Amino acid sequence: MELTPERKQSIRRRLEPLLAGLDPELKFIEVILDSSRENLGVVAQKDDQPVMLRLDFVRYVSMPEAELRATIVRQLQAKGILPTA
Amino acid sequence: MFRWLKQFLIGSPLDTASLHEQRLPKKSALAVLASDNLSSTAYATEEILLALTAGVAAGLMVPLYYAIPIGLGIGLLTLIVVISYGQTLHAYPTGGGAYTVAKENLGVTSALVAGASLLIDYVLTVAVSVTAGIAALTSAFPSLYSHRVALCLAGLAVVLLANLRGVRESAAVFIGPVYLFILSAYALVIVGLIRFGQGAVVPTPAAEGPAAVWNVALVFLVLRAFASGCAALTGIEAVATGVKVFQPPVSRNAALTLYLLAGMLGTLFLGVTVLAYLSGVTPRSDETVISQLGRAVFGPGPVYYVLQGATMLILILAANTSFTGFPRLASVMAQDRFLPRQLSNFGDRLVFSNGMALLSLVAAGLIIAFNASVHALIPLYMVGVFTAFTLSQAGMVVHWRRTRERGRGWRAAINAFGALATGVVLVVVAVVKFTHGAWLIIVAIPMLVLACRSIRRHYYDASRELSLADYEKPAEIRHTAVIPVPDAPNKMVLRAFEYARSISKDVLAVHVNVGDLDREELREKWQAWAPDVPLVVLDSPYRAIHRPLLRFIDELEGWRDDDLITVVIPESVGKRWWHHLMHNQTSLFLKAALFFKPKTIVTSIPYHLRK
Repeated sequence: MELTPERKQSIRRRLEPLLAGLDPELKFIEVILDSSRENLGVVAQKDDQPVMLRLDFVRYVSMPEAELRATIVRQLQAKGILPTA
Repeated sequence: MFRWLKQFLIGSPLDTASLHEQRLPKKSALAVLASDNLSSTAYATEEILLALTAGVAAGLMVPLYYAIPIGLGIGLLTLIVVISYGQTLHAYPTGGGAYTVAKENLGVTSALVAGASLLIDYVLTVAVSVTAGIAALTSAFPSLYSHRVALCLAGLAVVLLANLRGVRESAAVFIGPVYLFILSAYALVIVGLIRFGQGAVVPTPAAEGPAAVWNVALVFLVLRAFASGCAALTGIEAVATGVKVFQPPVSRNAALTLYLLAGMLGTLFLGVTVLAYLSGVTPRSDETVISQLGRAVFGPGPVYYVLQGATMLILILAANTSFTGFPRLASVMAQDRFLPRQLSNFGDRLVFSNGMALLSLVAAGLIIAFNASVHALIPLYMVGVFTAFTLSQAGMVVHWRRTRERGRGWRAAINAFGALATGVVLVVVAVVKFTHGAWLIIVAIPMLVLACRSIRRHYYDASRELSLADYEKPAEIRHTAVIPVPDAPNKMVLRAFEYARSISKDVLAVHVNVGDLDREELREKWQAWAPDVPLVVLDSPYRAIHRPLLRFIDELEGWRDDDLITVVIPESVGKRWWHHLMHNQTSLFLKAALFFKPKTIVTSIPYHLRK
């Protein structure tokens, strides 16, 4: 299932600076939504290591910035991209 | 192309129903099963002499006439072993190799020790035989000596191909050289003894050794000579293992062949040993004892070259016995799940071709590792075979104790004596040859036993896991289809898209950007042909395609719960065989890497090129 270009742009605008703020080498690559419209996948890449961040699409829409940041940080730490606190 | 080459080399496939037609009459079976045992007459005497003269450098002179009582001792041991194996054939008319006898009477561990010992011995037989055969050739033509490893590998390939053609065809190929060797070896012994009697063969001074003073070193040297000469016994068990190659009545035919074989072995081995002593021949690195005897008896004429040619052929063909024994034993062990199951499958020509290929590979490795040296390989040789002899005879003792057959008392006594005799020789061989390489086999046998047990444990665990006893129907399968794509769309890739859409609502295209392509330009190209499929463009700063792609698939596995990843790989199929060399290399590596991922399924979508 492909997101509309406008929706993709809006997600990108929200997430790209957040990722760059966490790690300047972490690049936003793509965002995908599955056919159930529940699972949002954000593809990012650091060096040659791609990362797939998993978000609940319905919650994402209304998710406060701080919670979104915390969710992403937790996942990047679990994947070893960011150091654990 | 491959099919044509295969048919040319090994022939057309044989129908399973024609399996019984592959059985052999005694004279052909003798050629197949006796070559290993008879060939040892070409080097067993030399090994005795070599061991006896080994002490010269240390000032320990051993008279060479000691070779005769040593030879007689080995002859007696042969008699004991043959009678014992005759008993085995009587008790196991459908084939009673050491593995089977030990498994039924002594338990699994003993069976595995016997099986591992024999498998190792069969490999060594191939390596030693081919190497000794080429040594006969380089004795006659010394300029070939520096090419001996390559010649050995070529000889091994010939024996492998002949055996892959099937039992009947290999027997037809080998029957001539085997009987030529028997004739020429008897001619050497008989003519040699007559000519010596007539004074035509003059002994060299080496035949007259000083009187030896018995001490520990001398005893060790004599024991080592005896152990080396026991190489003559190798191959005897092949008849008991290969019973199934005989035409009915198999047990009787096998026993007759075994006794005939033992008679020929005894007379030829003792004849060559006596002749070597009388002629005063001593081992030399550049010429074999048989070659020296041939020159002394026949002169350097055509008869000598016939003898050398026949010796070379029998030595190379001795490997043939292992090509009968190893695959059959491996198939029995594979049926018991102690070896990979592929080893129990018949090939196109109703032979165990996988076992033959494995045997050849390991033997070739040994030939290369030991630089095609017979003397370096021989010490490795006998630990395995005497372990198998001993366990087989011990198993037979238990067998007779369990049976109610008439004459079981004296039959058990014969096997017990056989077990004792071969057990003593095993200890002698292991001790005197330990530092010369026997330790390698003493280490290798338990390692192989452990490997066999691990293989069986794996098969057991796998069958339990695959069992339907606790089967629960899984929930509906949900999967994400991933298609690796090049930098531009084409028919082959779009066909893969169509397929992916038919199996999943979630299709992703992934491109690994190894150059400096513009991401948006790339996306536009793909959007035109597949607007509904998201394209993920991964960067590859180190230009590797697989690494970012495989890591992305890893990441994708964690995206959705209970999700399977189906990687749909578009592939082009060329019309000619060599077209394959120019396509699909990336997908080949990708498939190999993805094979081991538990949540990933790989599907190839072939596009058949018309030109």
